[in-house]
Amino acid sequence: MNAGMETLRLLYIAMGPGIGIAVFIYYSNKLDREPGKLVLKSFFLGGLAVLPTYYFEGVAEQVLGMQDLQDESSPLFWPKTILYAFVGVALAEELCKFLFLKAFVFDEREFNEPFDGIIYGGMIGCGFATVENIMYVLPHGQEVGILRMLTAVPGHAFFGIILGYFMGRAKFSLNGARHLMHGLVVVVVLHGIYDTAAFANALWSTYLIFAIIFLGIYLGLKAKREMEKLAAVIEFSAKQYFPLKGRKKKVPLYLRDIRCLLSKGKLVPEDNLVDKKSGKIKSIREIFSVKIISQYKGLPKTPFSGMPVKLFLIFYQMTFGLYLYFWFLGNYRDFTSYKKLKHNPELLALGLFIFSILPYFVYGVLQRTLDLNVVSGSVTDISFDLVVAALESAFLYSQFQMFSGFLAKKLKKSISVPMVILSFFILSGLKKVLLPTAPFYLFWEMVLILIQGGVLAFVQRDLNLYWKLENERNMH
Amino acid sequence: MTRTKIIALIVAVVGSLLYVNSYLNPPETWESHNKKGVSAFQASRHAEAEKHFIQALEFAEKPPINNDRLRFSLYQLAEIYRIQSKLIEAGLILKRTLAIDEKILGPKHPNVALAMNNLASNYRERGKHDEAEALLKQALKILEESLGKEHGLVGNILDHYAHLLHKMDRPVEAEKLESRSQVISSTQSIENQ
Repeated sequence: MNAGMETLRLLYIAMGPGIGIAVFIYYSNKLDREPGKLVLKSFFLGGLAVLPTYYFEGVAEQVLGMQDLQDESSPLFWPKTILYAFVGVALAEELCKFLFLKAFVFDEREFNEPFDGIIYGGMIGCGFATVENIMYVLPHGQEVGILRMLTAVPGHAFFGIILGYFMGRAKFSLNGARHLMHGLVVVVVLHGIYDTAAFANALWSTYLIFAIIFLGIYLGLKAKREMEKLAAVIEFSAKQYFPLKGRKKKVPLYLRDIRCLLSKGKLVPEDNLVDKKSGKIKSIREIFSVKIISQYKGLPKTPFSGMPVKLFLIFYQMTFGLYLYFWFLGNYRDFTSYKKLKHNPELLALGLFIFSILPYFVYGVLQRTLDLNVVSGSVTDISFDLVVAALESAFLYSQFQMFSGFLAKKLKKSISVPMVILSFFILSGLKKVLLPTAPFYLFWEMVLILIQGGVLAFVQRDLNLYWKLENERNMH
Repeated sequence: MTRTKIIALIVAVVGSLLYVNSYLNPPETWESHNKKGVSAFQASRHAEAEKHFIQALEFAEKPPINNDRLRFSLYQLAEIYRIQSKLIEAGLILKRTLAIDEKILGPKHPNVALAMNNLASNYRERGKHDEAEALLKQALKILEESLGKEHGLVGNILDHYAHLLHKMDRPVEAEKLESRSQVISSTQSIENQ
């Protein structure tokens, strides 16, 4: 492979995951899609934030003499490592993202409901992760790209979502400064622990890195879910308010109308409105605060639109199949919410992620402890890969079984769950067994991901049909 | 424009410019001076290599001192002095290296013997044969005690010592050492087969 093609390949590995997660975040806002221009601006601001923070990190590295720290026996190893991780890196990076978000996005008219914090915070995080990933992957190669795809990229994206969650709450509450401070502290602490583990360069630290990433993803998804409920309340609430300026007490406004007027600049979050029913005067900050989530249970059934099959395939391909976890989560959420099932979608998705990653660490530890020298491509290695593929397939099987019952009642001819799972298992097994040293490795990997995405696209097609029929029924 | 926006703009512009500047003109470090010194040395630009090795040594001498770096820099500098026939300067550096090795590793360590051998070479080239002989005797004793009388490194020191004795017009003693060295090297080659 010539140098130009190699660079392009590495660029794809470096940029794919960040852009993939950004697209996922953007499309997760189904009720009031954000303007593309501001979304792109946030993404680029995240990328720009890499430059000043890297300069600061370089200075901190010099001042603390981090290059001289060889291992734990070096004098002041832990105080210096912790200080550098928390202040030199975590605080610098998160503060810069926070500052750019606050200065260039927070006051925009289109930031017109708390959920928008999730979108813009997520975009800043993805932009940062993408540019930083390019700077790491181009000089260090594919292995670093694959490792960062599972750690640093989702880490930055979900830390961004958590920061955005607090930004959203800050803009629409009476004590915004407190929420801003909370957000900054939470992400700096998470990021600081992650970096301390990364710089410790020991076996235990690998587990801590993944634990922090899992925690970050879990908290990010929880925050996103809470804001989605809030967005649903704003969209569908029957509560009405009269504005105290302009069309004073003439036309009552629903919450979604207020959101629309905010984006047009005709109202600002500080404006006061009169509750049509109680006559109480409240500012928009109070009206849009998280307190109104309590109305969520009383809302009519939220219609689900599914997801265009083409879009699903693009997500799946761009994230090298990592989109499976988000898709799994989305499906569980939709059915749990719609059918009032007793599931915890975030925990289940995290469980799938852990069950796909954890065996590799256990396998590695076993090899080291028992001093086994397992050759890549040996029977033991292939058997292990197939066990992991079987674990993933079992998780998917349990989910598909759950909703295939609902689908079978609605659709004349729905998917055959065993067939889909068997195909998924074969493709997943092939993907894992494929040796990185094989000729045209990346090409075959991409082909297998495409076919695997194609198999799951049949499920997505049936889901789309199901939601369409359900929505039609609800409308009647 | 709000105060936050002004701060963010300053951070974005100034921070990015500083980063780009540091990327284009990276700050000098021990590694960068070493790298430049080695490439100047490979291009036979000895004076330039010497300048970079001196600067690398200055970095290595800054606390907290990393002894591996310090010893590496001292050897690099001694070698570039030797190549330029600056034997007095090279001798001073080698003396310092020996003192460091004795302090860190203890007086009976094989590396100390090797440092003595290097300094002895310097003395021999400068015609200070008696000082060189004293050092080689010490080095030989340390290596024989620590590694055994049949070790390859002992053979190397014997060769060097024999070479010195020839210079000092003591051929009989030199031949004795040479024959002992040959026995060691033939034993070594049998063991290696």
